[in-house]
Amino acid sequence: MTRAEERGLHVLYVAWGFAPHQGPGVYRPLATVAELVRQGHRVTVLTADLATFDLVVGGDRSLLDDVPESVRVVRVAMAPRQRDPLVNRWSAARIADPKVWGAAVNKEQVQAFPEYVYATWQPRAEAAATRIHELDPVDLVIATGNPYVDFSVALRLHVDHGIPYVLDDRDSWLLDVYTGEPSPFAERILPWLEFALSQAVSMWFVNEPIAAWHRQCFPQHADRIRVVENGWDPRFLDVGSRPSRRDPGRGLVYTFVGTVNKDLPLRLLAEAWRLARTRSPLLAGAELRVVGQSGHRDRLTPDPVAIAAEFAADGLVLTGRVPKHRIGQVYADSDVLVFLKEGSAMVTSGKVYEYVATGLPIVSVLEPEHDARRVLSGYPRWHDAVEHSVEGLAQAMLVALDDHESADQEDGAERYAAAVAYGAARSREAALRPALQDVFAGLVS
Amino acid sequence: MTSAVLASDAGEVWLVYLSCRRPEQATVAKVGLVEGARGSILTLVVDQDDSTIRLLEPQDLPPGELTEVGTGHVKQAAVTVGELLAQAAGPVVLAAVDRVAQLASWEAVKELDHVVVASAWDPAVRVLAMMAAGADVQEVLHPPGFSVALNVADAGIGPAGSQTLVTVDHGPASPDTPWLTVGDQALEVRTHGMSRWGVRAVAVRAGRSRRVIEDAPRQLLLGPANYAGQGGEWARAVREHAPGWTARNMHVVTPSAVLVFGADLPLTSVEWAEPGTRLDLAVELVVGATDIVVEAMRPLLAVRDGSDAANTTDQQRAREDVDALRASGRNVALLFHGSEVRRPRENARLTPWSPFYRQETRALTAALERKTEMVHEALAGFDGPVLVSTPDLLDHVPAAAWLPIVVGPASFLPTPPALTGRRPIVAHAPSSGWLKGSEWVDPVLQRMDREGLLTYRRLQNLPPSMVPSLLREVDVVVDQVVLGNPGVLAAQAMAAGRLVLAHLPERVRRRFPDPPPVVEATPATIESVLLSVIENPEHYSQIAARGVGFARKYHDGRMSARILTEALDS
Repeated sequence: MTRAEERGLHVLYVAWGFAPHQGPGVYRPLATVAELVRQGHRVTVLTADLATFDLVVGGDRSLLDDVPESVRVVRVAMAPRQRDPLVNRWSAARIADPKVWGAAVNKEQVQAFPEYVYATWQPRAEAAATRIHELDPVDLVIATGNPYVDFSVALRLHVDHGIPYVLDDRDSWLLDVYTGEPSPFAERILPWLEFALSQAVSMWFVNEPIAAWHRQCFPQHADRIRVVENGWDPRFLDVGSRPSRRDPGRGLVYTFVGTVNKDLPLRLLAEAWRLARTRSPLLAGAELRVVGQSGHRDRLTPDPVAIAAEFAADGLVLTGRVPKHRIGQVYADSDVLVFLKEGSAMVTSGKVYEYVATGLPIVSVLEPEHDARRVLSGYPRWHDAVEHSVEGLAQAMLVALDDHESADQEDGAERYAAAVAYGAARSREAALRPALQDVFAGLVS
Repeated sequence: MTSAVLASDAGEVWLVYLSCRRPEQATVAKVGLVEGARGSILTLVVDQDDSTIRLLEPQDLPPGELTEVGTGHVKQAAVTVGELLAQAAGPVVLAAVDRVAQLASWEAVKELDHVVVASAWDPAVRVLAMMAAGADVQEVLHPPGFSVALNVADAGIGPAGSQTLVTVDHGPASPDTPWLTVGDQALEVRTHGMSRWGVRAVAVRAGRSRRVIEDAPRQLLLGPANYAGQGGEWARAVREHAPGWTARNMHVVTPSAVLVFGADLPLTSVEWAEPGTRLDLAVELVVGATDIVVEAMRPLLAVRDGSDAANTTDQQRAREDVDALRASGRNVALLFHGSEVRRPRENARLTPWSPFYRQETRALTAALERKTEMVHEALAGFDGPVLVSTPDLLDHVPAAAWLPIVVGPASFLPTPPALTGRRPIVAHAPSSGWLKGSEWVDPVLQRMDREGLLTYRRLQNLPPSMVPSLLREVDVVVDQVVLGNPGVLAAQAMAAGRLVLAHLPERVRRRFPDPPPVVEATPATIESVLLSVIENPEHYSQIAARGVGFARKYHDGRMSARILTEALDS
């Protein structure tokens, strides 16, 4: 019997942005760690210190509840440098000219590793990983980026101790997936990535277009490049909790869930909503809820605030960020979902998986090449706007309304069941489980 | 008093939103929503006289457009802000949300210990949350330093954290007392000569400071140079090959360093300069050490410089550390890597190919002359063990012992023999081209590459983790052809079975108990040697293959662990 079969392997999971980091990139690491534990492995997570999340970037401590009890979490302090929000600690040079100081810090930080801000974590994280391995030998490293400084830890243990590793790239180190342009550091990243790929057990990407691009870029390593799609998290979304019948007298709720940033066409959404309401009495008391972090670090920028005020009488409500633990309730309170996200052929969006898990009608306005179409295309309750306009979106909202209203009919019930079944196959576990099983099968064979 | 605002009551946290603009409704709303503190919105306002600065709450602001408070008003604004904050009976968390507010606050709180200034509203709210969870102002501003051992121990891996007593300004002391005294199992800090910031940083560490206790009778610390990662490699060698010993290294490097080498405790020179960080370092690695190796005559702690600007290359500070650590009963050895102790004049005397004293290296030579003289001055009178990393340095430190370079296991991975392909691949990877003779090597190799005789790989600033892998892909490594030392890259190349070309004078070669399988090459012979390699690949392939055994004998860490521990036992 192999050691793995006896007590599981010791997996070091490297994720600078692990819980309580509250960014969207935290859920895949949480799910991966949970799946590793479920498969019987001992997991140590290497992540940034709590002060980084409590003070510097913001965190959601409730996410710590989603870390399995058996998982050991090593928290290594991150020197905040240019992100340090405490003015008392700023040097005279910084306070005198923050831009000049920041430019100098940026320049020096990327000398050794091509990544702003996070490069400073490299020596510390590597030191901690080395000590972890010394005290409790590691069998496998899984490192997830971004930030890509996480990858350097995997390389360190591999070079010094021969530990195999898997790289999980949730974005692309080399490429701007929105524009398809190379990263500003592409020339310096290329040798790092080529070396990393040459030594890796496998490298994961979140969709086929990104994976295909990398296979073309590194044909000699194409065999180890794999797609491990994102998915929805059953721990945050109990699809069975959705009430089948709405309280009489309560208005319908259309919901958009996602970041409210400059790329979100909030005015288009609001105007389409206003127009749709004028066309159906069923929407008279309805609300359009925009649920999500507004702007950078939850600072409301003037535009969304102004739009919210302008359309308040139409039932537009900006709720702000809702902790992930309560997102299930957001969906449960919704009748129709609105999907309206910037993207590209290489951007799928993590939210689309949650949307299809709900079984609710989904209205969308998407670029023709947006990769979310691939996920939505088999969903039986998808109502895509025929054109990217106020009129087009309003029409789609009304079609979705018809879909919603027919739910009690026989074909409506079937459509709902089919939608739920479609979504059920797109959980994170559905993607992660076979990928991890393949990795371990390769290790112990 | 230029403000009508009332400061906070005792014990109550006062959360202040400070700006130069009239607050928007949304701002008023969010400040009003804060729980667990008294919230205020204050606006810096300049009067018609353009010099009187007042702090006003929203309801007191004059109607109409406010006169702009600019950077020219910062000095007065700082006085106004300082006067108000000084009256607060409890802690203050201040969100300075624009440039003038930040400049004024930064200046105002230099002498105030009860105020945290955040650069925006959100982090101010986060600070409030930290304080609600029990942190005080100084704990927010001066969190515990980075400790690898504790980070790992706190996750339940390895030995648990223990405690070391740190006293700060305890009892009388003369002004000549070092700011940091390392005792047997405790640390004593004196804050004279420290900035107010430094005093606060060490004060929050007073009492029982946490650390992990290693379970070994002999505990070695090496630092802070870690040139070419050797401090880390020697520490690992001792851990793996010296029973009864454990070893750690610390590394202080400039923030703009191009290469990151592995170290047990990596610090930037900016971090290290702060006395709080150096105290953390003393807690984590120094107080428990029985044996200490000071590298390159650089200070470990600078025990006589408690300022925020201690110099990490100050030889005199290093010597003071050495004397203080020896006085504390610890075994202390000195270790030199190369350029810091290699006197240019002596090098020029020993090899005609010396890179020093040439027209184009005059300034560099002069700088090294000064540096090495200071190192030798600081070394004078030291009667403990002295080690050097390459045998050529014995000409510069005659009383020293040779401590071989260590290369990691990745360099020893099995590799196909060198020089068995059709066209040899030749690499040159200087860390410092002028000391390696790159101006001689490059033209020759580039021309031979163009002529199709070989493939030249010029490597620069290669990340250390990639070096073993890349060496396996080449046949020949040209290390250096002028200086006369066998460096780390040469050892790595030998371990990988690659052919090494380098200039090693006969007197250096004789210092190896076995003849090193390194083919002699100088600027005058590099081309002919390479032609010979191309014409006689089988012969040179055999020499390359001998490198593996040579490196295994001298550079795999076993010999180094023995020499190092014996030196400290002597």
